[in-house]
Amino acid sequence: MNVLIEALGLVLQPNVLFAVLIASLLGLVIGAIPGLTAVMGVALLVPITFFMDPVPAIASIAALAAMAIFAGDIPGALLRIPGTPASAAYVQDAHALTKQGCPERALGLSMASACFGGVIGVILLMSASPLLAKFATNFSSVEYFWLAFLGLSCAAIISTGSPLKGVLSLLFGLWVASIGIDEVAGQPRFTFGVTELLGGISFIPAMIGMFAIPEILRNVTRKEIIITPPHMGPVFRGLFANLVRRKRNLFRGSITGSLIGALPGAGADIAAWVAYAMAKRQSKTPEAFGKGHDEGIIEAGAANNSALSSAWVPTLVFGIPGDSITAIVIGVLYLKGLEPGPIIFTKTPEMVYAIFIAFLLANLLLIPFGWIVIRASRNLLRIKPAYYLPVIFVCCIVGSFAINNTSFGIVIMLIFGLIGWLFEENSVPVAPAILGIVLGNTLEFNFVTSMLKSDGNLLVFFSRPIAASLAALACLVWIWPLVRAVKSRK
Amino acid sequence: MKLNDKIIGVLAILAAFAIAYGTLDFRAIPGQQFGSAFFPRIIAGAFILLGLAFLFAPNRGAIIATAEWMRSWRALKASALLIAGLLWIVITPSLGFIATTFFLILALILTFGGRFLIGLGVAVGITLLLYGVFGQLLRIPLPFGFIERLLL
Repeated sequence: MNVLIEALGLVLQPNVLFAVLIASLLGLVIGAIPGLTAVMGVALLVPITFFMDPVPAIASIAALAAMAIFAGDIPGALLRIPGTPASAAYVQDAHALTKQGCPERALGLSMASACFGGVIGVILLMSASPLLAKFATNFSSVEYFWLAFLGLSCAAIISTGSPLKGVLSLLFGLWVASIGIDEVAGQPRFTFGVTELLGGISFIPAMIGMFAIPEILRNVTRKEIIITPPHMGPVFRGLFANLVRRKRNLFRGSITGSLIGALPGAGADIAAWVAYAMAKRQSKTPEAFGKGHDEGIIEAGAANNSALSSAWVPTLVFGIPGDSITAIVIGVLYLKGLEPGPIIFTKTPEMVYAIFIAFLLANLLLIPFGWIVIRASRNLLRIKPAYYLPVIFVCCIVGSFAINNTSFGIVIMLIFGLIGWLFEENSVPVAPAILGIVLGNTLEFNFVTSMLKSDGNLLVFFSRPIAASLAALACLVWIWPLVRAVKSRK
Repeated sequence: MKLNDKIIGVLAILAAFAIAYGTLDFRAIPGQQFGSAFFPRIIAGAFILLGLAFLFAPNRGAIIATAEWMRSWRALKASALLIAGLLWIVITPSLGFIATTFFLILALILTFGGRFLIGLGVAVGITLLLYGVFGQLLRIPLPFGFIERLLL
């Protein structure tokens, strides 16, 4: 209880609340602009959080992500252009409601379900994380190796369209992580004589480049579309009655999203698609899906925000990112001197609970802020890309420069931006590469440590029950696509 | 620019050889079985397997296919963006943060089809906002130029 009060004290500071407020507004604007994603917003925010205390830094990331995922529904509903990939699952239904003359109903439902789902996700995060952390204190380097391996495998194989391309991205990320001085032997690796590379590839410029530059290039090079947002009615009219009528969808979406989000490597996008499919399967009127049905919007809308919260479970407990956003968060936590893992729960529990409370606050703020952005959406959608794309690009430049006060960060950002663009053009997912960069050193360190301890005996990786179970799970992840390919050929 | 899977496979195998070659001069630690080269060589091995999987996977299509926008004037917009990034690096040490950032934003807005007056307002507002947040609030030593000298 004392910890909770201490955590509350940490969150209810003017600087934290101010950071949450600004990040929320930023998240709403970024999410509402078609083509700009929550991940890109978080990537742009990181250089600023670099100079903040841990609590406002993490709180602002949580707030921005929650707001941007919800706001992504706005261009989805009004223009049939999902603002973020997590909104894509139910964009047909939301837009169909708009065409029927009630966009406020689609957006009101998605706002309320996002808030509800987010709160359920936070409750799961608050209840599951400390329990799992207690369990994880018995883990050795072998279990940590398998956890990192499992997270990376899920990100590369399960959450991508083509497992081969997911693995390509992952291997690229792991190689990038090996650049710089090797921690064990002090040997410079792949530095090509460049002094700035001795410390490794700076994570933040690389991440900004890979997430933001392809998005800017995509927006710059696409044909201009004339946007005419429809008129918006009162958002709260009939909203509560609708939610009560669809309470089953609301709860099921929140639970599905929370469970999927807690899996390493899965994220809000997958959660939304799975929840939408489940809503359709369980519905009495599946034929109405895609034509403006409430059920899909509520279930998938609750799922994507609950997944966003529960993705922090593996992040905080094991240091294994649940999705792309938490991969960035892990980088931020390391920069703040907070090593994610079970130790953080015993060493600085007030910090962990402060993160939980900040998350809860961000999700509750969805209702008032969501209402404001829905009202302002007609104006937001009218902003021409010609005005905001240069601004985002300059933010990328300044953010990359600010990390080490050197232009080398900008060079890294531009190079990784081009690589990210090439990846996107070839349908190679970017997220596994980022996870590889973040977790590469953890994977190598735990692998080499275990090998040294066992004098090169590979059986050590299967010698403990939890390690063996994690190994079996990881094998399953790798074997499953092969089984599926063989089945589809038959 | 879309590459055929076979090309991706060849590139993955070439990357594997480059990584393995790069590890040849990593010194071994006496008495230790697993040195600096151990993990990168595993990555190289995985790249070879992946490259082979790409080569043997069934696929059709052109070896290299360029998107429609790459053959239109929109390619110039994309190039302008990247050139602007490089110019920022080269020019800021002499012109300073404020002037370079202002000109960069304005030039990009005009290149992308924005109006001059709105662009001017956006460029002034965003430049001052970034200078205020990063230069004043966060105390980042941004590149110093003649305008910064006037502000002091």
